[in-house]
Amino acid sequence: MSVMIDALLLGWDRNLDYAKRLLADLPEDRMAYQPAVNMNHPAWIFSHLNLYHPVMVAMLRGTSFEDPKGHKFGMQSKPAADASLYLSKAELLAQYTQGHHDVSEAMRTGGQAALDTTTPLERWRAQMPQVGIVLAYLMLVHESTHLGQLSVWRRVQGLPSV
Amino acid sequence: MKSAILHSFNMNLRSAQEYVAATPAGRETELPHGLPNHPVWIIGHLATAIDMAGTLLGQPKATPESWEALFGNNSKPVADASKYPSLAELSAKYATIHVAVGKAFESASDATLATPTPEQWRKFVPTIGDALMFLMLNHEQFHLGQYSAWRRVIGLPSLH
Repeated sequence: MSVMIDALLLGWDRNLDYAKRLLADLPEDRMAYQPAVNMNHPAWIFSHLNLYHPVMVAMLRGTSFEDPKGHKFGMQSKPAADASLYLSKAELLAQYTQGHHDVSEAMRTGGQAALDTTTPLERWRAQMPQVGIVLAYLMLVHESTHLGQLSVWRRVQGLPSV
Repeated sequence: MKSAILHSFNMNLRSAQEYVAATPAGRETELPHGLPNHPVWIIGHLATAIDMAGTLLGQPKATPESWEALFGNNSKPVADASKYPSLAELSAKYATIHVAVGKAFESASDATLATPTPEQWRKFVPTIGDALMFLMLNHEQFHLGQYSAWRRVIGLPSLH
């Protein structure tokens, strides 16, 4: 395993650890609360992030997957205040944890060869031609963005920094 | 793998510049409703952090010493804009350092990236490569995510 694949996986593990701490003290009934208009809440954030884990695993294994764009928690979706639309906090966290594990496992197994393959999804390919570029983006850029949003979501309600 | 990381790293700079350009003049140090960080602090903090990443690659320190008190890990953002350099100045410095660090990273050897970090960091990020990955991707986007949430809290629309 290359130095930078190890570094990528460590950054991925850091996100998992941070996400767990961001969620740990949140009451179930606040998971779909929006303190400001259009602000992403934890139920949507984790539903959205969890959507990409199987996509990443499929790309690393070279198997087919559906474009997540039109999914009910995809990039075009909006957070809704109806908590019943989402899994429970425990279910979301369990799915997130398993997804992280699955991606790590697939990356360790596939190694550099999997990262060098051509991005299978056409709409991503122009900007991110190889799977490795997509993975670095989804694992550390996309996830960190949403975890940063969650940190602010906590603070505007008076919850402490983690 | 390095080219993949650089791709995302460069994307971070473009995102930051987009956020800065879309920040209304006079509002860049607003901290309403318990918001932890404002745009001026975020961009100054990212400049000092990526400057630190550069020093790990042998680059000379490029941010003024005074920025450590304003934007370092133990600093606390304040709403008084007169305490800070302008957002434009911070953004320009951040961009310059960002580009330099990208180039230094691109030419760094595997041996450099595998070098252990200074003792006080080693438990969190054992190697230079681990520290760079964290500072270049996780840390930058975490704070840019805060920037996007700041926009929502003060009533501005999403940029994406």
